[in-house]
Amino acid sequence: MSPVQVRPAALFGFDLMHLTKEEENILEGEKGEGPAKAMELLVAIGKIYDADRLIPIESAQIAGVSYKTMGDAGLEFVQDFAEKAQVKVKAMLNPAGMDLNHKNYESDEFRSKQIELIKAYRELGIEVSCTCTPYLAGNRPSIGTHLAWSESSAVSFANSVLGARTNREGGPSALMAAVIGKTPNYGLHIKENRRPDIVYDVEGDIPLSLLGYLVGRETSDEIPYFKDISPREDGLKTLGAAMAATGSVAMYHVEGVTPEYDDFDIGHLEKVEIGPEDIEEIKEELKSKKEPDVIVIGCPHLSRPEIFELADKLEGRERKNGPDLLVYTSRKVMEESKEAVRKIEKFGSVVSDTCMVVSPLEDKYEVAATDSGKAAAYLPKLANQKVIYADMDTLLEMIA
Amino acid sequence: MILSGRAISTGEVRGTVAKVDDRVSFLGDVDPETGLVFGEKKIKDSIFVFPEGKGSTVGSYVIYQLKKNGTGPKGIINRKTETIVASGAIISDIPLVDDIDIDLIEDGDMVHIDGAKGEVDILDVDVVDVVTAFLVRDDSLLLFKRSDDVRTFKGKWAGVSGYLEKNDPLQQAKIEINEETDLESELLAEGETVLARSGKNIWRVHPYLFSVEGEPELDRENEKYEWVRPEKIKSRDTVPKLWEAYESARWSYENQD
Repeated sequence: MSPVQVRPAALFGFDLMHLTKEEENILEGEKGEGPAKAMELLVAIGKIYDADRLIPIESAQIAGVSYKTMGDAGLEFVQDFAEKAQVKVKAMLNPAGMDLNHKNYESDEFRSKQIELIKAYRELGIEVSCTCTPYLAGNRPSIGTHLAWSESSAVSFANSVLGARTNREGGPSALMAAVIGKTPNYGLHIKENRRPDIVYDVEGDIPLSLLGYLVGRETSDEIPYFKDISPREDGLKTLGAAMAATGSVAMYHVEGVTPEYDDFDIGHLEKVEIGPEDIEEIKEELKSKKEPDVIVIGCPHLSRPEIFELADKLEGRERKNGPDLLVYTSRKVMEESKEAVRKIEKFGSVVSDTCMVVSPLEDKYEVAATDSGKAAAYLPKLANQKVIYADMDTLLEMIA
Repeated sequence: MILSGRAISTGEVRGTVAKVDDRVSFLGDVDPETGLVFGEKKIKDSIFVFPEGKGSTVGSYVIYQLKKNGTGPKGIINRKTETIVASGAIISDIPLVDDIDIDLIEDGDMVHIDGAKGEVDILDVDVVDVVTAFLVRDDSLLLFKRSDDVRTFKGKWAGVSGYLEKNDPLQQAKIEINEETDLESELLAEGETVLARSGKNIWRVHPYLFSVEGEPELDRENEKYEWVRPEKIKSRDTVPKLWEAYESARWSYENQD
């Protein structure tokens, strides 16, 4: 397989993406129209980011699943494309716009469109497990593995906590990567680019969702390195999700905790101290004078330990009047936690395949209370909600 | 005039330019029913020229819907394409070339895109070769205010300049220095050419850097001169792309062997 250049190197030395003969043949249509289109897209992205070649991926995680965000445009594309292509590697979906098995606040028309969209993805060969936590639902990549994932918190978790390597893909680029089984080699696929940019020295006790909310806003797309926090896995999930929502942080390190923290010299980096006083402003922003009409928990989707913890906290308490409770998790975790789910359902609904951000929450609710920094960042824009941030215990006080 | 950029999405197409100067988020800024951008600019069947995309990755699918609805552009030209627009153009079979200086393209131009070669041909424009000589002394640079006797860019600030007639550019630059300033000069560097759009002309500027001594004696082409720090070019009302032309010559000077 000798390398073939896509076109003569342009004047300025960029555009040096090399394709193997096999890749070149796919580009020219040997495997049909769908794979040719997929290859064309990967090559274009490779050129934009100065990738040198394509590299194999172990799995893809595809955004653009909720009919609420995709609309008829996205639905039509996926339906058309499903007639021309099949995925070549394990591929999973981001949350859809509703629980696929139980009707909730969405309309009948929405349900039928959403079901059509899921059907088209299934025809492409994609597993219908709609979650932002694929790593808790049977797809836990090991260190150094290359991926093409798109959901921002999953990308952050894969890079930071698992040491796998993925850029933050768009829906189309993750889909095309799944069809070819490869992705352009640039960005976070390259070790050197995983180097931290700034050190945060965290003093005192700050909720991880608010720490993430603040740091994401401050750092944009840099790679932060945290000192003096030691979260467990669920805490890392929360922290990374919030940073990826208020900024576009696709990777971070935590000293003594995450797998690659010790691979880089941080001596020369800018250091910033963060203490409880720094999050006062955010706490003010995330207050509302109105009473919440719904409590939403599970952004990102709750893990099995988190579901159990929630069930324990509710054990023996009485439901009082107050806001509805909606708890979001992956179908896999839900099925593995039936007993705990039953306990929680005395107080509200446990919903899978979807979440508060990508479902039409705004059709039923106006003021949402949450303990998630990520949900707090997205709900106003994407679900037209007034948002109240509170920790889990405070939220549960409102209903029991 | 053919401009070379990067091939992003293949296909050849010819059409009339619809240009906007702001970054475009296809989800939000573009209505897939009407094909209107920012509520006013019609891109149906156009060559849509804009600097760069932004916003939600669902924007890629909005481009696909524009195509399906028949309300979208025939081709796209960007200064810099990012993933959203690249993905949208490719899945919709819309030719796309980027890394193009879109300042050279105006609304209403007829252009031809070759998406495979990464080329954009601006039809119906004339290429006019000119020389511009920057005269420097110590840390200062001579700027000239063009008089009312010249045909183009009256009253604008410029270097020593003139049309390239039958001479080679360096020879022409020396002739112009002699005519416009009567100064002794010594060549320091020759920059890469810089392109600038004005009306139906694209000026291809050949920039030079010369060192001079003494004060210039003006001819009728300029009404006055001033010694300035080079950065001042940016804040003056100059002929098009004067700063870029200076930077090109300066860069050559600082990077020559």
